[in-house]
Amino acid sequence: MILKLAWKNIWRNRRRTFITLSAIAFAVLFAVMMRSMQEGMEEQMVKTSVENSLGYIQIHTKGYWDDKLLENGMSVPDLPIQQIEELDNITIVDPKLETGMITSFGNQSRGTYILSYDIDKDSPKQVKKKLVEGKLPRDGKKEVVLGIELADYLDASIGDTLVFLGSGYQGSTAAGLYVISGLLDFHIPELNRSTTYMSLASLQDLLGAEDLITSLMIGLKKPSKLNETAAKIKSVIGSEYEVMTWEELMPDLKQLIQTSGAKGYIMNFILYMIISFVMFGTVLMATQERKYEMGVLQAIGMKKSKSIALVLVENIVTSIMGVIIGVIGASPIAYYFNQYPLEITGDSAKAILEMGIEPIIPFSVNPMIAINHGLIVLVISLLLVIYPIMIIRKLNPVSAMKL
Amino acid sequence: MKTILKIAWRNVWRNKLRSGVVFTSIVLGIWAGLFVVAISAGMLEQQKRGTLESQLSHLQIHSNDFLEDIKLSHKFSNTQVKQIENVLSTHSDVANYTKRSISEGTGTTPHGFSNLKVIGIYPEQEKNVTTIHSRLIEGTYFTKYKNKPILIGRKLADNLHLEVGKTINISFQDKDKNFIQAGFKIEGIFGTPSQSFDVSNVFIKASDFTELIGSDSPYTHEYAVNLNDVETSSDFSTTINSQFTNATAENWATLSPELSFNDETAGTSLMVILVIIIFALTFGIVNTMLMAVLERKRELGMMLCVGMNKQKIFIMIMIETVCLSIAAAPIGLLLSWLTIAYFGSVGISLESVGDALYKAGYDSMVYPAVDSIIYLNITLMIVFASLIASIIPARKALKYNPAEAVRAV
Repeated sequence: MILKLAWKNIWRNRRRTFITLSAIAFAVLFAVMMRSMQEGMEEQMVKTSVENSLGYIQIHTKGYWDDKLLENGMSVPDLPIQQIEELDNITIVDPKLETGMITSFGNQSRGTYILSYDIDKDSPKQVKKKLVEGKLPRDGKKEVVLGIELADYLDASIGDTLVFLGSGYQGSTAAGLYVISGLLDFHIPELNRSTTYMSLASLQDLLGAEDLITSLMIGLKKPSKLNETAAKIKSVIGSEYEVMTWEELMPDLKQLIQTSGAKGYIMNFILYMIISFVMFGTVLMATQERKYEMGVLQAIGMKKSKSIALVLVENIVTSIMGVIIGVIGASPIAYYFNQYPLEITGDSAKAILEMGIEPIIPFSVNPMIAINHGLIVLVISLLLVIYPIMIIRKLNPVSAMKL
Repeated sequence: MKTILKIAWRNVWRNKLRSGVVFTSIVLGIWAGLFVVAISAGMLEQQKRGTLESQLSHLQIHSNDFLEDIKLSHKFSNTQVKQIENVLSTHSDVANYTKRSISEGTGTTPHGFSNLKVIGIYPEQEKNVTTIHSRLIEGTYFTKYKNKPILIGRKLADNLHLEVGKTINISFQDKDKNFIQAGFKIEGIFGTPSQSFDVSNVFIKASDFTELIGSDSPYTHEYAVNLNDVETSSDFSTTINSQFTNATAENWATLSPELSFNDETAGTSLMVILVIIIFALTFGIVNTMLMAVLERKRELGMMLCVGMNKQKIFIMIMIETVCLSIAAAPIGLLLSWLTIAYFGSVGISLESVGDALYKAGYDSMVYPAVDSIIYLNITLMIVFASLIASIIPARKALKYNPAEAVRAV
């Protein structure tokens, strides 16, 4: 009976229902938009940093991250690479070997990080993207590519032969002559000054360590499932290895994101204050409008508890409808700004680009945002029903029916 | 016109509840807009100050050759040193300055190596310009060890497994381009907000620097200058650059594009947030005023019947909103000013993420602050938005058919 009455009430005064519905729907829309933008910025930060350098997850021998010695490296045949590749959510498992050496040309020399890439994997593409001059080392040749500022410092250019000197695997001395085949620009001065790339095979050869790698870099399809995937990898490999996520590998970045998160919470809080107030205003007006009607119902003998139940049901139905409309309305907008992100303009857009970061703010399309904020608005909307309940309880039919 | 004004004014007071809702919406809108801007600006300011104090100073001067290519030989000539110091010590804008010698080198320990910027400083002058001396986590500031002391960053210490009292070997070129290596004793470990700064910069005494490169007189590569007012840094740089042909002054914004990057992204996202807030608010006002108009259908119909024209009804409804805005604006401003002033002196604690914030270059406390012009901007924006918001309900009233409206319940 009450259900039926409530349903009829909702459709009876369509204008009022429409205004209430739209208040709730827009509340959801605004909250979702704001959060989508904030999370989008965070995702963008992670994506640029992670893809430029360390990968979402890395596996090393326990202790390598604290003390990056070659002796803390791993041997490829010992690792269950196949098994890791077969796990869900994994796009690539890329073996990496990394070491520091002194690089000299003429009477200039400089400490350099030598990184490897696996010719059979995706990584040449990533290195190739940074190539500004020359070409990648040919298979089987003793060739390297290096950062442009490093080449500049050494006064060396393509075709020159560099001397690498350092310690090899297990105390041996590593030394070798390599020809520069190309120059890289990482857009990050620090990397341009200190990075050299050669193929995994040549680096293993230089260090006198066949099959040696220092880390496995893992790419993910869905970065949001980071910890789940890391846990799965842990269960596949032995306890002598450490599995580290980008959050552990780059605590700086993690902190930066927490910073923007803290700010986001304050902004959200303020937005919710406004949203709550707008919704309250709507409920308030709607209740005032219906005082007369409620007075009539009471005058003809409807119990207050039934009136309250009626308002409650009406409120729940409209709230749920409003939230659903809001979520449906927000999704295409978030999707649009995800595909066509906001662009940062102004003088520093160029400087940002030079840092290797795209000057854009894409929106996140994480469905959890819509669900979470839809629920928050629903809760606020349900709490606001306290107001009409209070009014009904205090209602005096005689005075209420006086227009 | 006077009559309409009077009617509108009375209408505002007639339904106090409804007026209260619109009034509070506007107050809340102004407050929220200003507070959001203030928090944003406060956080940025905090971060900027941290970076400027610990690393950048307000502006730096280098020789043009040095900017092109960091090399030992690209120092200032003796005449340049005299000229620059003459300008810096006499100019009234300058608060403090210090000079530095810089060389790129490589630090090695048994645990690895790191490419470093070796900076030779005059410890006492440096204290006046940057806050490295107060950011020591361990150790002392050039007071303990006589023989080649060095200050290194926390991140570098972690990476190379170094502690106070241990030795790091640093190799670089001397003035004749010979490769030299020297052991430095770690006297202190500093932590700035930037890990990338901590991992790649080390400080030694300028006198040790001069001795190691085999020179009799100091090599000066950099002047770090603090002004009385950081806002004048761009103008002061221009002054310097017009006076010297082979030296370039760069202010903090040029030195650190990351800081301007933060400014820009924060600016863009702030705009979006403001737009969202204003939309939410406008929507609230539209809703309430629309209900007000619909509720008063009968009354408005009656007015139309007795001969008031539609234009006047439209103006009347607009004036109602204007009255509310004009009344609400000063209260909103006062409220914002009070909260911003209060939190500006007390600070808002972001304790739960405080540790992370500190490391990322922020303090765990945020002190909201806002330029006075922003008060005006935001208030005008909100008042304007509320006017726009009242157009829709007022238009709705125009569409009433008097005969029908008057019969509405």
